[in-house]
Amino acid sequence: MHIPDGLLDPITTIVLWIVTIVIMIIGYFRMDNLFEKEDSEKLIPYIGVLAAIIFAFQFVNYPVPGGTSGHLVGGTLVAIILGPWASVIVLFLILVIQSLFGDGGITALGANAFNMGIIGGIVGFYLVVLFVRLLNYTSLKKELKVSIATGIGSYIAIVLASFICGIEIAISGTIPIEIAVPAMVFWHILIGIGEGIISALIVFYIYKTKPDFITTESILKVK
Amino acid sequence: MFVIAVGFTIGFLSENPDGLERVLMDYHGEEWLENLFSPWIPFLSWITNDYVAGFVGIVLSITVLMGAFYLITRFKKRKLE
Repeated sequence: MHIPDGLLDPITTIVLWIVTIVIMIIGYFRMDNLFEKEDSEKLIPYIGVLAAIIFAFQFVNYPVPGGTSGHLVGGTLVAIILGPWASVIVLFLILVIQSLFGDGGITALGANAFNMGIIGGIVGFYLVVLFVRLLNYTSLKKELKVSIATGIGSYIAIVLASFICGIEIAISGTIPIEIAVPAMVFWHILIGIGEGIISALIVFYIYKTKPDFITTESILKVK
Repeated sequence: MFVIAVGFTIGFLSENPDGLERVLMDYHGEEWLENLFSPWIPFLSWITNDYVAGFVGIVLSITVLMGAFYLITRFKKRKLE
């Protein structure tokens, strides 16, 4: 879903850059709880490892039926681990590095961060919160509730991001909206399955091995 | 590195276009997609070997993210003092 240079018109590009920068600034001030603690430096090596994992997973494409391919975006996954606001900054920086390799445009960085970081991270995170609250009515184990909610939340977030991406392409006049939106959503309904499964498995693994690394448990309110 | 090593070795990687590329190629054709205007040449696009690109990308990701969040933590703590 990495938008290349030259695809979006200047107005859409600038608006999405502004929205992304504003949300990152808000995010910087909103993630106080996580980085003002006495031992918050301990998180930094984990963030490095998480960045490596996300970069590596985004690098490996898996085949999807119908002649297309997908890869993990990881916005919702990062948001569950570090919080929704930090996830936008993490995804933005990873997208900057990927653009150095030509994967996603430099002018389209704002749009890509909006789709994958803000929709994938912030919206995906609150979808997970919603599903955790619903799963709290079941007798499932804690780690299963969060993993299942992460799988469903990240799946919906990817499909939603593809819907938004389709609108951005249509507004820019690249493809008519009646073609862009259904086509983007159709392919990402298939591609998103991989996103949901990988995100759920990683969250389940972290819960089993290092549950402290999930810093959003107080917001998730999993019982 | 483990993901890349396993993914590359067992041929899990797909050369197929991703969702967005597929939509654009279906409508405009592959040539149109390859000729989109870009204001720059990506600094690291000369790395054509996927293993090397993956390794460099991972090292860069770790360095940039750890550096950025180290600075964020320092700024936030300094504000409290």
